[in-house]
Amino acid sequence: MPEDSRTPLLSVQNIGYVYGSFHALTDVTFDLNEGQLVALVGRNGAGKSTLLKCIAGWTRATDGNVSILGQSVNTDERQIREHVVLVPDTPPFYDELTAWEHLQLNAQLHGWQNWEDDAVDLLRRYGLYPNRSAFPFSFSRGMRYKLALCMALLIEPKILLLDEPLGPLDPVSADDLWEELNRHRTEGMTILLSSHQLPQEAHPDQYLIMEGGELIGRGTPDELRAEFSLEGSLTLEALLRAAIRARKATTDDE
Amino acid sequence: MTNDLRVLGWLRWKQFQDEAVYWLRVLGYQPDNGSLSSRAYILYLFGICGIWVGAMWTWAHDQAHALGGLLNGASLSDALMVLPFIMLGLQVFVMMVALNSTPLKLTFEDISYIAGSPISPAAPVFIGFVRQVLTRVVLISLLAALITIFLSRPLGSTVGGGNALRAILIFIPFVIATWAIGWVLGVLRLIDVRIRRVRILWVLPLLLIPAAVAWPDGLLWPGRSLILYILGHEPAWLPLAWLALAVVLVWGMTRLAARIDMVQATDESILYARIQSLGLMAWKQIDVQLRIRMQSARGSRKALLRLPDNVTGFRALAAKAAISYIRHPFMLLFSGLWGAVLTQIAVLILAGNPPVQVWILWLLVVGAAPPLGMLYVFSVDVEERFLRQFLPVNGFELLIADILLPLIATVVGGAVVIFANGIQIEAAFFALLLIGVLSVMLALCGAVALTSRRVLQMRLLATTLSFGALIVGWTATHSPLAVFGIALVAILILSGMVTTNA
Repeated sequence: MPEDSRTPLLSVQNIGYVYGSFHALTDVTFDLNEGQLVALVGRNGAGKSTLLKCIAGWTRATDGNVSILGQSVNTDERQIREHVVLVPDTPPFYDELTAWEHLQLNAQLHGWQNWEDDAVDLLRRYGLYPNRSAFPFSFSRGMRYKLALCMALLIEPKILLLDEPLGPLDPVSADDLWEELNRHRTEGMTILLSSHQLPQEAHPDQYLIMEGGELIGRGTPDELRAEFSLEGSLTLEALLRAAIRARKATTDDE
Repeated sequence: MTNDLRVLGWLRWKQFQDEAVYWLRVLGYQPDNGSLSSRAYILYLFGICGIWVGAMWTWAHDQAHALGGLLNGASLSDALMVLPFIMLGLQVFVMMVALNSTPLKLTFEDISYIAGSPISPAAPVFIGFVRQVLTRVVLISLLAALITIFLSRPLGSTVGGGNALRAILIFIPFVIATWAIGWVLGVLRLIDVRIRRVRILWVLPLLLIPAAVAWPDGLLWPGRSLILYILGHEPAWLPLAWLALAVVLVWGMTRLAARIDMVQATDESILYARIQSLGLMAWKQIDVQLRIRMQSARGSRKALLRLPDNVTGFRALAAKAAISYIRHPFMLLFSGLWGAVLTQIAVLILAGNPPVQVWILWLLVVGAAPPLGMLYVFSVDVEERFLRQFLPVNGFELLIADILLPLIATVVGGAVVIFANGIQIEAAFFALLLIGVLSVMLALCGAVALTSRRVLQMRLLATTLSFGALIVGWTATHSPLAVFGIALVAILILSGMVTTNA
């Protein structure tokens, strides 16, 4: 994938987030470039969702800074809004609008012309076309996630953040989604997704490994395999266990 | 069957105890502490409750007695003619409700542990009937007693007590029989799929009303017999006859209930179960309950109207808000009602020319009961960050687009009250302008609160400061222009906050 080290699309610098006395994020730093597909992995409560919310500007980091195309999320939230979309694990919808109207509203608010073909194409790809006139509250969890993805992909953001996208999906849909994400990556979209599981054929460009609100590992699959002395095919479980073990060893030494 | 009834009765009794303990906890009772003092505290609570109920009953009795003094012979005669129709209306209403959806309402726990168990369906139907009827018997009998006291006044100031006692005696079996008829119909519907297929079945009882006009002797006899008994013109055994009828109906209903389709009852109970699962929140946040009801009503139906194709930007946003309100009209209705009620109160205050404290009280009412319907769409837009990220407008534009239709409804509600009070045209124009400005201010106060972390405190603070400034301005200058000037400043400040925060 193209690596452009001069101008990172997304730059996360030393961000921290504190709820009361609980440190949800501590000193997280990384950059992402255009056209990268990155998997954010970690155990429950590792801080993945909080990190995604800080990047999307849904939550303001208590320390550090997130910038997108050089603009800070803290100060230019409105300007960066059109470049970033976060799809949470349980996306909400308007009770009064049908699935199709969610896409229609999205397109019309942005003043686009001839959006209908793209919307039909997206709904067909995600198997929602027959349900386009139904209200999303009557959908299953997986269907709701797919509709949220259609809404996000219709506006083609520069950065797409997905929180647990594979959890609500059946294995076939999960494979299809991965294929879709790969296609968008080749078109230049940067995708950061948090997940506990990845399809077998999934090969992200990078992994970000989180534990206890800290980034404890970062790199390409080959780099991480070398760093944690892993052999054979890289599985999420093995990677996570190795990273946590290495982190524990470092902490014990200190 | 008897065994099933015993088991289910025990379960309901335990559930009742749990609920009672919950409410007693709210009042300071500690159920884990079985000491003498905690038992004494329960007695104290029941004593206080008894005194309160007694005091309220005495007050209501006195009011009914005093109001009855305004009645003359002619109006009493008119009321006695209408009452049998009202009782028929109650019977029709109960039948419609039972035919519209299963009278046996199951919670999620009931669906899991009762609907799926091998006990006879007659047991939950009977217990469900008893639970539902108990509260109705108490409330309706007491209401009937109060109405009797009110209506008995023209007949002499001493006859009210005896008549009220007879009203309670006759209404107990009447209410049981009325609900039993409804449940019999509801049970029959749950038994026979052919009956369920008749979609308009639940509306059919309405035909009894015109039928009663055409053939009063045939359909109004229940109400007439009750009134005659209350007035002492029917034999003393009449309540026993009604009781016998009620017992036969309940017995028949229980026999039939053994054959109901429990799957159908479960299906139709989902809405009830969802609302019950909210607990107290169903009443504290009525919009959540309304949203669930709306989802249930709309789920299988085709969407009403559609988003227009040829609008973009702000107009698309306003169209979305309008269609949301049209498809969820309760919220629009709330706005209209809110405008009407607050205007009526203001008109009454103005007419009385009271001290400034009354206006401050009005302000507190406004702050404590803001226009819920007006911010319904806006609250979804700002609270759901996933949806907000797709709206490329600032908070103020979003608010204006979202409140246009309910704002119109509020002004219309106020206008209806103004014209109903016969206010002169110049004053009416000024009042309508004021309603519009005040509604925008209140919407802005609510919007500022919704975009802050401390919603209630911020709403009260914003409302008190902005409306307080208006009251101070009016008290100091008595100039409408000054009031509008202050309102404009408040609107500008609040708009700035919404623009930045939403």
